[in-house]
Amino acid sequence: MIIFAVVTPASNSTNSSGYVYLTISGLTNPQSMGNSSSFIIQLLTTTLPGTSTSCTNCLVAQVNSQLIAQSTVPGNIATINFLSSNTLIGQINTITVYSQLYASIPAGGMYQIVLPPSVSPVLPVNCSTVYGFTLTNGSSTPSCSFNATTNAISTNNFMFSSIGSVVIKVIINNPPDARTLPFWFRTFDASNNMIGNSTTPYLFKATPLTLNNTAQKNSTQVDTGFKLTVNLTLQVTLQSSDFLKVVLPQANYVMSGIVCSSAGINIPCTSVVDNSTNNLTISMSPPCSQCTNGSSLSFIIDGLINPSFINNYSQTVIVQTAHVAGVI
Amino acid sequence: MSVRVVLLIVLLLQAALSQMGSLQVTPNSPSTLFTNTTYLVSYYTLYNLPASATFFLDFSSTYIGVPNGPLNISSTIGAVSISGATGSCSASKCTLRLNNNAAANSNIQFNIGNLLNPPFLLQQTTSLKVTFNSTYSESSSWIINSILYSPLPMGINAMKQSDYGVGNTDVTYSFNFTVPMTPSNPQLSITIPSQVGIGNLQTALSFYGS
Repeated sequence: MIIFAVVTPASNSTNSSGYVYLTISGLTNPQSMGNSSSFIIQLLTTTLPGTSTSCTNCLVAQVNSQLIAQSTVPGNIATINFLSSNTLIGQINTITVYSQLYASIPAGGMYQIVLPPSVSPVLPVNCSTVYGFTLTNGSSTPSCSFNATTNAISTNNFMFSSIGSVVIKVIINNPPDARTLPFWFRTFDASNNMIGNSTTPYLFKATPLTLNNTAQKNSTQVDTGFKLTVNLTLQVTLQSSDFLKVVLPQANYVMSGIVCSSAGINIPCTSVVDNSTNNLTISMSPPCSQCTNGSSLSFIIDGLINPSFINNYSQTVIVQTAHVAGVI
Repeated sequence: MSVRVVLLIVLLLQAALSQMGSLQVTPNSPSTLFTNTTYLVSYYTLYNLPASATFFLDFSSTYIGVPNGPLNISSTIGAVSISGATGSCSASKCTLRLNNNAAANSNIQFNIGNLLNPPFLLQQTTSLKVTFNSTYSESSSWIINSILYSPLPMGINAMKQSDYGVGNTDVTYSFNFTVPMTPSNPQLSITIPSQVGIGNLQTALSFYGS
């Protein structure tokens, strides 16, 4: 595209040098991060000197380098919606991601979902275009791939020639705990230059599994000591780095007297009182190096004291299995 | 000798006598527009050239600046430097003298200068009349192709974008550059790179002569 503008010298004299300030509005930055080729600015004369005879392409001066357009900030990708077919921890989950793109994806480019570290795709990657995307010429089946290094699912043959909403569906394995995890979204052109990047991630939190357990006090009398016996059946396999947790309601606990044991053997446990709720949380490692899904566990916490009153709340005991960062 | 053979010889002689030498005029480096430089004038003679021969080189149909007065000049015959060549110009017309005999079928070269390259790209047509003696002369012309010249450079002082986001629209690009000279009826041409999209364009331009 060439546009022309006539320069009017400040004086009538020709051959003088000068400074030109030129602004062009209404341009669109390059469609991916990186540099364009250079603008070319040429100074021409339109007539032969001293005559009115036109002179075509009579170039006087030009610059054809250094005038580089840059796109250094990726376009945002906003997450409009994120639907899960199953939010339970460790379960297979078909996610449907609704994104708002502010720049198109050319043929050969890709849409990418960067999974949180503890989330993986069901392999081979299954993806489908729900809305907005079209398949590149010659493709009839949606195709995606997974890069274990970046933990990202990338489309292989998706393009989006406009801006607006796109919807993609992929199948993942939910994380092993209920911590809040970020999903990031990116787009790239065919040369792997970034086009868009979600400025804020979508935060996903899996739903904890129901833990089948029984918790039995050997005494329910107010202000007296009691021993808590817990039996539970695991629904996920616990690692040695995971925890068993028991949350007890507010009471005058003497934490130095708390003793934890399993199968008659004392096991280390920590006791922490929450400053806001005054609940007591007792944590201990599983009494096995790897507690298999479906196996039963039992443990005892001794040295506890009942509250000084009794109601539904004061009798509530919460039993959890947990990862270092979240409830399982 | 048959009549046919005699006729053939006569025809060949006529053809040879009607042939003339060839001219070439090219700027030496720097070939930048509106810049002083020397020019190489080459002439291939088919006939013996006497020392008294003159080369009348006419730049008046060109936009090459030719100083009035004596020219700096050097010359070669068949790539061998010779001394004694002279040249002077008036009103864009120059008279060059080799002041040496040159054999037929030899290449004669003059380096003349400094001349001022034209101020814009346009082919330049020069003409030459070589006077061998009072009874024989040759005339020829040569077009100096515009691609032999380089446009003047422009200085870039600054370039800014109002926004650097990928694919963002309605972005304003500002250019601050220096033009080395201002020709008559000047015009600026801007070629927008293919990676940059075009919307509803609006331009503004200011020029401040130095």
